[in-house]
Amino acid sequence: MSDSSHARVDVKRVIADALEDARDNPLDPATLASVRQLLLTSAEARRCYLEFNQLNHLLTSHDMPSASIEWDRRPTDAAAASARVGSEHRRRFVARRKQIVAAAVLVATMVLAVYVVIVSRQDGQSLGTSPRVIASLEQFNGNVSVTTAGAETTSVSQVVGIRSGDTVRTRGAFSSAVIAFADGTRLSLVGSSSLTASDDGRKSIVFHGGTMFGSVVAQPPGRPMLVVTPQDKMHVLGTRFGLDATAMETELHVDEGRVRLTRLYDGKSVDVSAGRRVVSNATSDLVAEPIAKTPDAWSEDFENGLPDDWEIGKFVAARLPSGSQGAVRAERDVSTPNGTFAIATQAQWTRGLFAVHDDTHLHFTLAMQDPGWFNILILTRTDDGDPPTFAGNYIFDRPVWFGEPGQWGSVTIPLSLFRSLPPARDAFQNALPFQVLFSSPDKDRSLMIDRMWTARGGPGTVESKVLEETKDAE
Amino acid sequence: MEHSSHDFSDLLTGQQQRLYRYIVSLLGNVDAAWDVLQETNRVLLEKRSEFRLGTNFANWALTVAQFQTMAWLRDQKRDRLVATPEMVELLADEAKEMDARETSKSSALTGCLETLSEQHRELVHRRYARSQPLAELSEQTGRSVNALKQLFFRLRQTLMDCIQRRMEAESP
Repeated sequence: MSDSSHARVDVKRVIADALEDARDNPLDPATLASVRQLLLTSAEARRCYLEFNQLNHLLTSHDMPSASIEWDRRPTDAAAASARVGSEHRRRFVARRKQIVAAAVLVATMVLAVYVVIVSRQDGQSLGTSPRVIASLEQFNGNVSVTTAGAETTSVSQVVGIRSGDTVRTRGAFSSAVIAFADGTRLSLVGSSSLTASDDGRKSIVFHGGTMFGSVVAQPPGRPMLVVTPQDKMHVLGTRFGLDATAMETELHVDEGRVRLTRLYDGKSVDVSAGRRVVSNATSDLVAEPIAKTPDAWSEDFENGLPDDWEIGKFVAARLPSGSQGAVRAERDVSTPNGTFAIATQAQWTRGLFAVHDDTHLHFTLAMQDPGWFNILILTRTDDGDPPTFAGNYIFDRPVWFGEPGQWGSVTIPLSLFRSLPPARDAFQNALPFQVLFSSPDKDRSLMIDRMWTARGGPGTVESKVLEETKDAE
Repeated sequence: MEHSSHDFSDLLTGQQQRLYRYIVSLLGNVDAAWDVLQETNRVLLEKRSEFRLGTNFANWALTVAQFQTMAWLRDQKRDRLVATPEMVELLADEAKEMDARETSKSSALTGCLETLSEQHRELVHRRYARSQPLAELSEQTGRSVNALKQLFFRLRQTLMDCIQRRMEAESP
């Protein structure tokens, strides 16, 4: 189909109607296919597509005060039917989640979040001004944004004031930010996380998800800081704590002081004191347990598959060294445009992956179909008593393995030979590893790792050797 | 020319809005655009040693954003969005050209919205600023979904023509 075969007006209407529909629901397969075909073959259609999206963005980000018009509410039959279809679609979606309780709690939290925003806006409007500044956003790294109560989103590039009702968001393993209140309370958001903050004499934090650390100074009597996650609420008087939250689960660590956690679903509470942690989900017993110290030794052997929160890599169960049940294979890192293949462990922000000592060594057993150079990165967070933030990367980028294609070998590298990338400090000083990443930027080498671990003690130099069983197999 | 991490950071933060706009124009979805922007930033930071001061940072960053958008689309279920990686490849250059005029479009839009009736302005607000579904607006206004689509098509065209006229009038 050539460009000239499309009547200009028809093309515009077809594209505009399809994109309007797609704003509300996914298009049906037939419409989607025909619209895509049109876009691939017609320059006019592509121009309409770009104009539609750019005007959308302009209108979405434009400050358009609402006129609060109330229309005559007499739906046509077609509109009522369409609305019913939408409602039915949403009902089916919720049912499919098979977590109705959790979904209801989530909705309740969203209502609370909206409430916080509304209260904050009223706070500002009653004075005829913007909501007041309640904290400042400091020590940010990576991708950090602030969305105001008026839905205006700004990427953060300098210290900014946080107003009541603002939502702060960090995105990606390299990102972190500290929200510093005037009374000395500091909240640190790390990784992919977001919160909405307000303070009307009592600090209220809606923590939408991710990982957050808090260092909270003594709060006024009767006005503890309130932290709400999708599953729980917490009252904080003065303490240091860490939180991991998803829509289904909250994990609370308390380093100093005491925090009362209440599960929203059934109202059950638990007091969590210093040195203890609790996991709250729909079925947990809400029992506080001692926090395990960051281990000196860490190990993953993939014998039972990949851990649930493993970030990049594919489980493989073939071509393994003898005695092994599984390994991880590098897969394409979609964040890179030129074919980087990677293996990345889970991002263990809260507890850290392992502690670093002068004699800590990284070990792994590997095979590559196309042996060659690859990078090893250790991502770290600060570990100096303040709420943690991203501390930088440590890299080892020298060739370490010269085996034959498919041959299994083992490699040992002392962590002291990793070099820091800005803004990391030297020698893992006050920096706690939370993720390890192997990547081959130039091509897919079919890198497989059967086991990776860290431990104290070792040769102090890089060592690699062919595994005996590989030799036997040959 | 070598650059410090501070220089690079300034360049990158200065282009965030433009990168985001560009990705939105390619993807047509504001939420997905945040994800792609995050990955674009990560890649730009990883590749910062490849950039030389004095060369066109914006052009380089937009090209990385284009590849990130294509990579993101390859990784998604293909029925979610209209865009495809092949389409993005075709759209990329024109989107860059259109984006260069975006700042003046934004200021023109303010005046153009004023030319709409209060009722139409409110409809535009609800549909695009508040993302109300057509079915919901249909129930509120008593107009059919198809009638609303027709109306929004007309309003959008009015705004685009108005923006175009104002930009031409303001150009030297």
